Amino acid sequence: MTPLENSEALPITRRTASTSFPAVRLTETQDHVTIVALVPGFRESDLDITLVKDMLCLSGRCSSGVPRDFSAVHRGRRSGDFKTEIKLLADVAWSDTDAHLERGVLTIRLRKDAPASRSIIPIRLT
Amino acid sequence: MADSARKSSPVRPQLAAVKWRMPSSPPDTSALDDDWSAGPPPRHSFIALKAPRAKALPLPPRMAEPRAKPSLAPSAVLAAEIAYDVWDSARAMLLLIELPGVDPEQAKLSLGGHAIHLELTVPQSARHAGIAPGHHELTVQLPDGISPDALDASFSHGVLRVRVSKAQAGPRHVRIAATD
Repeated sequence: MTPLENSEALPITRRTASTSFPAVRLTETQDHVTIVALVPGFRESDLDITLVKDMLCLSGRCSSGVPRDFSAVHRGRRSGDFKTEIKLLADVAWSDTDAHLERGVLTIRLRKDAPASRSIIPIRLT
Repeated sequence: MADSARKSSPVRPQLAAVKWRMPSSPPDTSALDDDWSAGPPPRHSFIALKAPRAKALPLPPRMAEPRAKPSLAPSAVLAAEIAYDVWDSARAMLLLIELPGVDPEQAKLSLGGHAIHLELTVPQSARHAGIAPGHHELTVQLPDGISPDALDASFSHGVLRVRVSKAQAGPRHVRIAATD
């Protein structure tokens, strides 16, 4: 798979999140679209991915794992609950969806072919 | 305390995309009020000379019209700096360092001189690494008055968790066992 680095050639997506967290990278080939999101600290059970037609919704619930008797001295991480929506191509149907979480990197792979329908993509840990 | 948590600037990777090249033609000075085409004014006149004032220049197209599409460059997802949290309690300090997509084998953690030092080398071939390729260093100073006597580190879901136990302050009571 060769990522397309020329954004002008990609008619792909429009992101509708109000914040830049999590960082998301989109790459496209002739048959697939791959979405990579950096979600360090989030477990599989914290994430929810839904694909409704051409809208991919990614949300996460924060679980810091810090004991209660600790107080913050420095906070440089961008954490917290988030919800981001990524608008995919409107005239393309998606199938053969796959997602996995590894070392805080969520990778979602969509294939362009069959008619789109409401589906929830399971996340499996590899 | 925020000052004590000092982070050394990581060595920026060499990115071909940020290389600058000097323009071959001289810059266009037509937008300036003062015409210096015949050369600079006499040196003594600098005292009363007002500074050249630039006219209102039109914004370049990229700034005037917001882009409808997000940047899809692969480097857009890479973090140039390592994000971390420092948490403190009476018995321990806790560091949470984000290393998404990084192989923990590439990180070296050390403790010395009242500081925790992390060295990380991300190879160019690292796939889906959330940290920019190159060598990174992170130093977190520990506050005065504590002498860490134990260090515990674990890596889970792209977060390096470092716990530094504090030595007990004040006198320590030692039980004397009678043997006779």
